Amino acid sequence: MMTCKETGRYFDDAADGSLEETKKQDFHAHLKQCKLCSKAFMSYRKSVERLHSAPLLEPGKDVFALIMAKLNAQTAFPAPRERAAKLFFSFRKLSYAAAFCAAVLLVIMAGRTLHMEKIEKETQVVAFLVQQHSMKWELESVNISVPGYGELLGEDIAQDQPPWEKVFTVLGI
Amino acid sequence: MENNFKKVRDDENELLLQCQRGGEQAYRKLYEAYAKKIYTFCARMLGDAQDAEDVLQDTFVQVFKNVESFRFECSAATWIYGIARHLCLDRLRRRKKFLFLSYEQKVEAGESFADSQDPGRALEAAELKSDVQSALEKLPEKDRMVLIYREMLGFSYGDIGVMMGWKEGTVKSRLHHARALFARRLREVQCHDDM
Repeated sequence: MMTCKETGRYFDDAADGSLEETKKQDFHAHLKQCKLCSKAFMSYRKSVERLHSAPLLEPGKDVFALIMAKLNAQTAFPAPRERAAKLFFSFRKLSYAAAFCAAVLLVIMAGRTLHMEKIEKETQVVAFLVQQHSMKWELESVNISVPGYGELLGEDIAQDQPPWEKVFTVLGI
Repeated sequence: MENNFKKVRDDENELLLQCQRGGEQAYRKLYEAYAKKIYTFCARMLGDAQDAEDVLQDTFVQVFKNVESFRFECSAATWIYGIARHLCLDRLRRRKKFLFLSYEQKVEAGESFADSQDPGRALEAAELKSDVQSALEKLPEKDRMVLIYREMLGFSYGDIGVMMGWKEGTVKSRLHHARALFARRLREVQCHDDM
């Protein structure tokens, strides 16, 4: 047998008519015995039925025309607040574009700096090696290899062919 | 049941697609499909016919203005009711802040509809002065909303959940609470009227 508290929990399903068959029997058995629950459920169901029977209300007949007039007026002359919003969004788009350009510029500049640093390092290493080995050469012998060039550069360079032309420029040869 | 549900959703989407292509005819179709229900929702929420009509107008102006950018991520009903709900809550908030209608003013406003030549307006005025409406107005906004959606407009728990951003369980418990509170308020209103 259901208690009053349990019965109250099934008011919704019972009012909707979606109570399971076994529970339905227990529910109605309790209502038969308990006048308080029976009264409460009747009032509950009645109030739900009042809501169900409330009719749909109808707007005035000229509302659609008024909507179209409002729509046309607003599209032709947007309200100051909307104009401000549009301006704000266009400004925001502009600032996004500016930020993107700045980022691209930054990447290019960083790349260039790194590239220049690499050239400088290469040149210094070759100058050092030239001094160390007291090597002499002529412009025609540009393809001589310098032992240890790749190793000294600290990079994974298999070849020992320095960029001779750059070196000659740096050393003033 | 599932197929019917899908068909309704397809029809709703078709209406919106037509509106996206443009044309007053498509706008009118969409308006006619939703106007009564949206108006009922607004009138029950606000308890005032004139305010409800204003919100109905603003809702459709917003819908038509933004229909092109609608991406079908939710159903048309969810979107349109969402706009109406937002505008209703906005109006209720403004009313609380700036406008204090006295009981007499409210009755006068209702009577102006009742006296009108249009019989539809008189019925509406009578409905908005009924004990059901009085009891609804005594409920917190969310309870009122969930009762209107479920009991008056016939939305499923799932639909209400999507519209309110709640889980289905929350909708059920909120509805249970709202129904119980409404029954109590209705009894109070009826007792008050009998005195």
